[in-house]
Amino acid sequence: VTTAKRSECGVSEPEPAACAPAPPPELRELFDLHADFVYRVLLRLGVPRTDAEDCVQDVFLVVAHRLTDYVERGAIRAWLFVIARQVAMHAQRSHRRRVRHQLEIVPALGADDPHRQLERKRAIDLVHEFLGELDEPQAQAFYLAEVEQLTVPEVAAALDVKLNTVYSRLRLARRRLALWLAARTKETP
Amino acid sequence: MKRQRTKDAGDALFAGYRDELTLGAEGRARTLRKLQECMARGELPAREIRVEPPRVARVRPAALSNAGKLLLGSTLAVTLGVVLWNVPDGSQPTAAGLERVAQPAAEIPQQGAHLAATPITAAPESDQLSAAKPSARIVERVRRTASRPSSMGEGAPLSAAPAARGAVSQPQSAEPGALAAGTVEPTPQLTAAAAKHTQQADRAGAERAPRTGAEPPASETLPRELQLLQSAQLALRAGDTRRALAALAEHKWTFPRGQLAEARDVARILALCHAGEEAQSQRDAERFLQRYPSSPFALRVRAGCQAIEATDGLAKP
Repeated sequence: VTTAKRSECGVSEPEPAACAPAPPPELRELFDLHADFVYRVLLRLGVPRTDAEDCVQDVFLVVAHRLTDYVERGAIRAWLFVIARQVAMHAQRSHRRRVRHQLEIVPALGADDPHRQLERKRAIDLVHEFLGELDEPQAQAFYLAEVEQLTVPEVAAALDVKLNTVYSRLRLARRRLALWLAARTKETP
Repeated sequence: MKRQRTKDAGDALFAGYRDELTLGAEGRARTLRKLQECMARGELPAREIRVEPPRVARVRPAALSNAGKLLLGSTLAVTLGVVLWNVPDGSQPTAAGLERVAQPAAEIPQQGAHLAATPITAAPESDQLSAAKPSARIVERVRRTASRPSSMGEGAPLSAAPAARGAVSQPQSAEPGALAAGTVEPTPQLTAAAAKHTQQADRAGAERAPRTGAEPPASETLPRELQLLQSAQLALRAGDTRRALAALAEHKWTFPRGQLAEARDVARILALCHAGEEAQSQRDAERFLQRYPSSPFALRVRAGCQAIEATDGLAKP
C-alpha cells in the first residue's frame, strides 16, 4: 500500500492520534447514509463476509480522495456501485488478506428468538435465490433498481448501459419475479 | 391487480433483505474508525481502484414553471423550519409565538401609533423573536417575503427591530389566523397556508426566488431535490438527526447549487444544533451568512444554537 502525507495533517512523522478524528463531515454523512448499501453490493459481487468490512472501508477511502475534486456530480450511489465493483475485483485479484482482529466476524444476527432469526435469514436467502435464477445483466439491473431502489438513470449510469437497456432488463426480470413468486406460493400454501 | 400483488410481495421481501443485510452498528463504527485511521496515516486507495464517477442521463420530467419552483421552495423551507424547531420537545412555543406575531398584524394594520399600545411592545418582541422564537421568525419571514416582496429591502434581516416593524405594519395580510392555527399541527396545514401566500407572491413577482436561470437543466432536478429535503424532514420528525443530516448531505452532494440550496443549508445548520454539533453548525452558519447575506433566514442563522437551547430548555450534552 502506498502511503503519502496528507496536507491536512501537516506533520511528517506518523501521528494518527493527532488527525484521526477528522474525516470531512461530508464523508461522514455519506458513510452514514450509504455504508450498508456498499456492504450489500460488495457481498452481492462475491466479496466474502469476512472481507466485506475492509472493502467498505476501501470504497469510502476512494470517495474521500475524490470528494473535493468531483465536479460532474451524478448519482452518488451509482458512483459507489462502480467503486465497489472495482474494489471487489481488486480484492479478488490481489488475494490480499489483512491482519484482522478477533472480534470482527460476528454475524449481524442478534440474540432474538430463533424463529425471528430464521425469518431474517430467509429474506436474504430468498433474494439470493431469485437473483441466481436471472442471468447476470438482468440480475444486476434488477438488484440495483428493485432491491436497492436506485432510479433507472442511476442504474444505467452504474452499469454503463443505455436507459432503454435497463428498462428492458427490468421488464424481463419483473416477469420472472412474478412467475417465481407464484410458483413459491403454490409450493407453500 | 395481480401485478400489484406481485409488486407488494417483492417489495416486502426486498425491504426485509435490506433491513437484515447491514453492517450493523458495531461493524459500522469499526469500519468508520478504521477508515479514519487509514486516512490519518495518509493511505491512498490502490491505483486501479480510482474510478471516474459515472454520468447520469437526464430524464425530463414535466417542466415546472418558475412560479411552481418558488412555491415548492418556500413551502419546503417553512415546513423544514417548523419541523426542525419542533423536534426536541414537540411543545407549542411555535404556535404561541406565531399567534402573537400574526394576530396583531391583522388586527392593527398600518398604524404606527398602535405599536406601543399592542400587547407586544416592539422592543421585547423583537428581542424575543430573534433569540427565542426562531421558527416563528422563519415562518413570519417567509410569509412576509411571500406576500410582500417589496418589503424585503427595508426589512432585510440585519437587526431584529425592522422585522417587528414589518410584522406590525403589514397591511391585512391574508389569513394570519389560518397560519397560526396551522402550526399547532405543524406540517400539512402550514404548508397549505404557506402555499397560499406564495401564490400571492407569484402574482406580485417576488424577487426572492432562487434565481438559477443560468442553469437550464435545473427544472429537471427539482423533484429529486424536493424528495431529498422531504426525507430529511421526515427523519427529523422521527427524531433521527443522523439520517436527516445524511439526506441533506446527499442533496448538497448532488445539487451543490440546487434551487433549494438555501433551504437545505438552513436546515442543516439547525439540524446540526439538534445533533449537538454546535461548532460545525456555527461554521456552517458563517459560511451561509457570507453567501446569502440578505436571506430571510439570516437572522435565525445568526442567532445560533443558543437560541434553540434557550427556548427548548434542553441543555445539549
